[in-house]
Amino acid sequence: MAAETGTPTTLTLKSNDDELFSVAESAAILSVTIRNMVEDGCAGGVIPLDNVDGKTLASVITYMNGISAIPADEEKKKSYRDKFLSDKDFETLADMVLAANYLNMSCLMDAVSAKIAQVMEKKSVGWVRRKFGIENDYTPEEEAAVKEEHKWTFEGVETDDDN
Amino acid sequence: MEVEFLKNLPSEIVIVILSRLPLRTIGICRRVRKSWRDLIQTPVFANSYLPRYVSGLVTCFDFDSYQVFTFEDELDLEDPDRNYDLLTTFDCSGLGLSICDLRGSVNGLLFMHPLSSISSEYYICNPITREYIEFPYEQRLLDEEFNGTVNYGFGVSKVSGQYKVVRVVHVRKSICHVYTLGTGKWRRIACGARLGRNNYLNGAFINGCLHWFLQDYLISCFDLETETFSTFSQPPIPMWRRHSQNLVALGDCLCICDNTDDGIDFWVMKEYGNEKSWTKQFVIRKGYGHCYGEQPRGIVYPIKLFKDGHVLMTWQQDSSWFYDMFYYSNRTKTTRGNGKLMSSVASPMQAMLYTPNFLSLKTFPKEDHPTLPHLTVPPPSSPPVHHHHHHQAHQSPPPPPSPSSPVTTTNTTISSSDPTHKPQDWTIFSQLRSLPCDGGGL
Repeated sequence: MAAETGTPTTLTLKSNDDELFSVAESAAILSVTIRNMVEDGCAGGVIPLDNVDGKTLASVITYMNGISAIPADEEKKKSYRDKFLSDKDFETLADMVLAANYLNMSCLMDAVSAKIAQVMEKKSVGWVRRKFGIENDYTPEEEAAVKEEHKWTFEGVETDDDN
Repeated sequence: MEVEFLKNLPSEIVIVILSRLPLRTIGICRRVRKSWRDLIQTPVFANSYLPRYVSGLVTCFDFDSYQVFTFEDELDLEDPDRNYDLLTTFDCSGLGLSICDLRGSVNGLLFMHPLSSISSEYYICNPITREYIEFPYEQRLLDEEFNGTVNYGFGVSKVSGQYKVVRVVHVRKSICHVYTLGTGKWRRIACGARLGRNNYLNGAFINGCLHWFLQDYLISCFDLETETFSTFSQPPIPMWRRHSQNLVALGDCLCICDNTDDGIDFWVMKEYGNEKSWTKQFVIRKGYGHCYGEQPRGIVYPIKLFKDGHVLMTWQQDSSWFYDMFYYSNRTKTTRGNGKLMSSVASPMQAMLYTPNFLSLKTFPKEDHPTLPHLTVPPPSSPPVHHHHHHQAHQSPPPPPSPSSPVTTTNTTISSSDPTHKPQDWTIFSQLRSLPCDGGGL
């Protein structure tokens, strides 16, 4: 499409809370989901992204623009990703991992899940449950048994303050 | 709202995130929720986790005490002890197994076989989940009276991911049997060339294939996927030294470690399957100041090649069950003992690379054998029963109180840098036996 005019093609993306974003096609096709739509010729009008909210989509587009401006240099891309994620809190990271999965962006998915894993390291069971919104479905007896099975895993872990 | 959303995180995303965690934190996540526990023990999770993981080490002492270590890829030779983190210990007697020999280690599973020649039991064990499968060798499959060499191998097939134990015996011809985990039975398969007539019991596992020495400068290669044998040629190493050569997987390469009078030669097949790519990668020179101990004879077992070219290895003295563990420094081109793994608990009998993970043996379809016991670890208030003599496993008196910190309070200091040390002091092992089964004091 861009080839016809020689000017960069711009796509319009719509978040699930109806915010509209303009983004260069060359950056947007980092998302395999969007690339497939473009290749199938379904990207003419507005591309609705039903699983991503405006705040998260803005962040993802910032990433798309930032990373696609970097030439093929893995070191520089990595350092951009590290910097991009350095100030994100857990909730934002969680939104981004879901967005990256929906948009099928493997490089962002890898970077965000590595960052989440880094944040989770040595955290308590209670912390993980709170952050992931998970209810404990073990009975007290079952949980005691699971804990007993691998006591060595609990060395150096933050103590639970809620269980 | 996000929290609600996360609660129903698709399992593939959970796997991507959790498989990047260190093992201890994965252990924490098992407790979060039943579905997470179940996910963490699947082969899918293990396959996502294992490629990222730096191999650890399993060491065996006295045939029934095992320790699992994690270590770094970057070895700090100024202080090599610092690189080792003891994850857990386990004990065959505590697991109810016979006294075993380690025969293979793949993806966190250990293949063990009792030392006793009349025993026909085999075990696959995951020391992290503390599960094991016990399966017998069916005598009917062996059609001739047999008292010769047995070669074993344990590996996982490249495409279908099946775990297989291979057993090759040599009577007048070679007879090969394969046991696929989860099928509950041994199958006899066609052997190509006559294998072996050597004492190298454990096949070198690399690239989905097991490898053993053959005669006539050949190496036998058994593809675990297709279950077919093929052969590679060896580098030109004198055949008369066969007793001191070893075939192992080192790093990503097949490696022949040749213990000669002048040095220890490392031949590496740089490109797998390409016989022209055999290269003498490096030589550890013998002689004063170069080589830890003397290693005049016997087999050297390279275990781990570190990023910077240092090598961790053990050496088995002739006619001895004891192994010395030492490093080769790629920087100084000399060897030295391994302080932490030797000084506190004497020499290991055996050491193998080991990648700890929570892969459950329950994920293998039903074994013919009725039980797949899940072994619970004794609570700290009741110390596990450890026997003092192998033959009195069930009659032995309770052990002395366990030290609270098993390794560091073992005050037996054997200078690992003392080349004259012969680790034959059995009193060391009486202390070892009081180690708690789970390393619970860690």
